[in-house]
Amino acid sequence: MSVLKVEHLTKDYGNNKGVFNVSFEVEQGEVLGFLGPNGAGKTVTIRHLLGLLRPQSGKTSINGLDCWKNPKDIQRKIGYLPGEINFPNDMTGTQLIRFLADMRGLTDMTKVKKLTEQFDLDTSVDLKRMSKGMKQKTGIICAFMHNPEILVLDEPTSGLDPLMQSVFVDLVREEKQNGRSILMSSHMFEEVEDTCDRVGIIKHGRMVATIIPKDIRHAERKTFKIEFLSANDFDSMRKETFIIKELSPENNQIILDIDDAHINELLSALSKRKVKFISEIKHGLEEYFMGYYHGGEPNDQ
Amino acid sequence: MISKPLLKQTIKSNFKLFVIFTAVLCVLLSIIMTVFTPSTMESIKNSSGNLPFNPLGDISTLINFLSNQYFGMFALIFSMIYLIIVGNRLIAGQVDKGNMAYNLSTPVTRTQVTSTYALFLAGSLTLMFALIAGVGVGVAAITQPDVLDNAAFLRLTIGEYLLQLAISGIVFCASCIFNRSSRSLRFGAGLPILFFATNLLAGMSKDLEFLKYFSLITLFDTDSIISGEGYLIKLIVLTGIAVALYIIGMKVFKEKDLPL
Repeated sequence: MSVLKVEHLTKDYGNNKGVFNVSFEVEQGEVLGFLGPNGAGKTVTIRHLLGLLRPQSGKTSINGLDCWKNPKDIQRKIGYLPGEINFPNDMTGTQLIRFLADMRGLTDMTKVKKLTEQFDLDTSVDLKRMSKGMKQKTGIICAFMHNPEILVLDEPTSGLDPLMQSVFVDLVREEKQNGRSILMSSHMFEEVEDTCDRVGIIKHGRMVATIIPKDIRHAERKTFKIEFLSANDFDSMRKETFIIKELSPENNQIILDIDDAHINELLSALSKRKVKFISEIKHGLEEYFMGYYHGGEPNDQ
Repeated sequence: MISKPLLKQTIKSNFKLFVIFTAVLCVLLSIIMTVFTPSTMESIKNSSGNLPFNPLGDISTLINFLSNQYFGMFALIFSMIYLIIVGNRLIAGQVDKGNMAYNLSTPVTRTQVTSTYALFLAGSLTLMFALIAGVGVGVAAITQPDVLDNAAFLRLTIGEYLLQLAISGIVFCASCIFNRSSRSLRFGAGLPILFFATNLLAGMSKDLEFLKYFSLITLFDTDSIISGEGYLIKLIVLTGIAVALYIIGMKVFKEKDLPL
């Protein structure tokens, strides 16, 4: 069952800014990564989901409720972490958390306590005195404090050090296990590669692909880089029927794709020649992502 | 309709400003009431006797002096500044800075947020003028018993209050419409200041008198309030303007896109 739906959402700000006919869904208990370069339209989409922007056409809904028409009801279900943290500057972290708890009618502060300890945060500091990392941690606590069913996180790990990033990844995994659904935007592939079930890629306001990181990591087609000792072996190898992606004659290197089913053909072909080295080129989300970043399609699609 | 925790928070963050402005206005009023006794005013009148007009305006009675100097100047300017600062930072300021996102990420409607702020802005103004009225009547009774026309003083206070309520409507409405603090101030502060300037100019010479038709302050007609005739309709218009502007502001804010 999908709990969060974006259907043909369009918001045109002119100059190719905005989002155009964007559609995706987040299933119950799923973590969806929302990946794209700066200015791709991630935040605009998220603002629609929070009922802050009115769609030009299309709609966004949460649990079947239209986000623009029922912001009050959807806010009960959502935890939101804005991409840019702008706290009121006349409060301490504790006061802000207290204020938001009051606004939400929340009395149970066990989650706040737990998160404060997990992220090793001193909330008694004035918000305007906080470092970027501390603000980010405070924002994360504010988004998770009421145990929302759905989490909408706009670049959640920005400003966190690697240690805290891994604390955050653990938190996301834990919430997922508790059946929470999560939409997480990012411009960094490492961030979403480990945590997300699916990753939607957005560019210039358009969804260009939805990929499943697990499939990429366990793809049946692999890529190898092979260097031969002699130019003869290199030349003869070229004439074999492998799917060759790249050739560099100057150092006798071949980069080729091979399906697991045909791996023995490759091995027997190599056994006839003198190989200097062979290494697998790992397919990561990064490669996919960079492919989209640079305008083209990824090589093997 | 309103959000109690938000109101509490709003009172907390604006309390100091309210106290400062209210205290200044009450102290000024007390000073005027204490210093400008009939004998002082007589001597001012005599010493400036050979001037073609008195720079302090009509000072024949305490109530006339108050209406020119206090209600026409101090109360007008100070409460206007209070409204501009608070009205702007309640909404446009928070949208501009981005912390409005936190209010709206909780289960409240936009209208609940704006009506809470409207209640605070109008409510604090009401309290401010209630205190001014109380202090005025009280201090006058102590320092100059029987000199002040209490009924006229209260009518003036209510008149000034309703004028400021209309100004608060302008500030509030601008604050709801614009997402940038600077743009909100262009109208929210610009219009009231323009009204003030036009009002001053209109009073300076007969040639400029037509300018009074371009100033909201004209509706706060101190002469007719003191005489007690024909002022009611003007005050009703001011109230109407205030109510309309608050409603328009809340409607616009409810429907607009927010860059949060």
